Amino acid sequence: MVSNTNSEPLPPLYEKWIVDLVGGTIPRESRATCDNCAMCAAGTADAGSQAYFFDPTIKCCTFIPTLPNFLVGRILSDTDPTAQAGRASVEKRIAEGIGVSPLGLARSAVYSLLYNNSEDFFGRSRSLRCPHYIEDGGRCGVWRNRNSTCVTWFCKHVRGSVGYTFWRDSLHQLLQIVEKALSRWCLLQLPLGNDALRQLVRSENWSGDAVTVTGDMLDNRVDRKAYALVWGEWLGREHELFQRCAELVSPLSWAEALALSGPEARVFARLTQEAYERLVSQEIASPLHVGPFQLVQIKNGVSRINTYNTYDPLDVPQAVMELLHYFDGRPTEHALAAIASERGISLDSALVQKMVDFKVLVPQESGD
Amino acid sequence: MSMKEQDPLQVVRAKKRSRRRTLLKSALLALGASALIQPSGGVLGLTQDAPKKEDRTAQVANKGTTDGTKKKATSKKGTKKKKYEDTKKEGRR
Repeated sequence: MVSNTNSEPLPPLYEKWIVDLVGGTIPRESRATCDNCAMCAAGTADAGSQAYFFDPTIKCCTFIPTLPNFLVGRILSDTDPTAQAGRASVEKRIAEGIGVSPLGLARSAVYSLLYNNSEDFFGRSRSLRCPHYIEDGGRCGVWRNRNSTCVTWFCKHVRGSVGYTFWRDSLHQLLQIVEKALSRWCLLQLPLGNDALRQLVRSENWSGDAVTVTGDMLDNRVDRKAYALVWGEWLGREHELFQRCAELVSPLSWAEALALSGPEARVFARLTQEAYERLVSQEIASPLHVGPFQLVQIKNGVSRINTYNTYDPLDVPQAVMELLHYFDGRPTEHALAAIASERGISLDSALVQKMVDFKVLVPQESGD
Repeated sequence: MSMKEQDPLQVVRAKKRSRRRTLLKSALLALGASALIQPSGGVLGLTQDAPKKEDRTAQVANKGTTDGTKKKATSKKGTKKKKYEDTKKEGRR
């Protein structure tokens, strides 16, 4: 499958799976531009406003991705010269040993502690910047093998909440489950010895429990005894294990990956398919009501409102705001006709759709 | 003022309204999707939708529990968590 400029670029492994799942390409999220970050201030136009901007040297890379073993293996096996910096950053994480297990690379407990308890840091804190971020050019070093979170996170969506529902509420959940299941499946295939497995399942994060922070962790010291136990016979051959995992997972078809990932994955696969249908549909629901939103600014006849995502506000002209009350549950075409006859304004269907996408207008049956 | 005297005024008002509507209809203003703008940046102080808080797929091996049973680990965890919470409060003061 070859990407085109109209489809969202995905990591090769995930692209073949996702295209197979949804049966088509995914429209590009052109509003979330990594090369020219849409979350960074442009000039001085917004200086002094209430807007929240990212630092252009950090962007949304204020996050350390958990990399499942098979993605680590794919990164280590990527001999492309352009992947060298990313590969080196992964090798460094492995050498440091913090959060390194046969399941992959996890964040340190200290990082998680800071991440989960900080405010106004996202897109701004250099201390929490991803180790795979390449400063020269502001790019991702592991782009071709980025994880489920980095694949599906966008600051802004072309179709607002419709895109959010597809990427974050559906596909993200699905890929996370698949990553978790396949990284465990790999250990059974290698195999990892029972002693090491026993040690691994005792770890607090096996079931996703919060990790408590010890003195060793605060000082970034690795308990080498625990580390050796969890690696078993693979100790010292960490790279080899990760690369073996990549060899196991890379040839899997989507049907095989899904079958190995269990019923929870199948639930989210169905929801992802449904969300995709909405993403590529132009149908406007009827009847419509005005949805809840936060009015954050009124300036020069334009209202800035916040709907589905605080990173993606919408500027609505006062002329449009004054028409919203026409969408009171009557059929949409009746509301549009009333607006035309009483206010002399014709609303383009694309404008109505955008207001629905951004939840300014919501279908009557919506439970959101 | 008699009712008869009021009537002409009402007629004038009605006519004015009617004329205004006619004018609006003849110059129907069209608004397209471009009327709505997605500005750069986000909204300060409204970051309850913090991104990327998830993802505990892979496991950590640096916790330092080498031989504790599950039960012991659970009880240790509870104690440590409380210490951590207390420390955090002190730190903030």
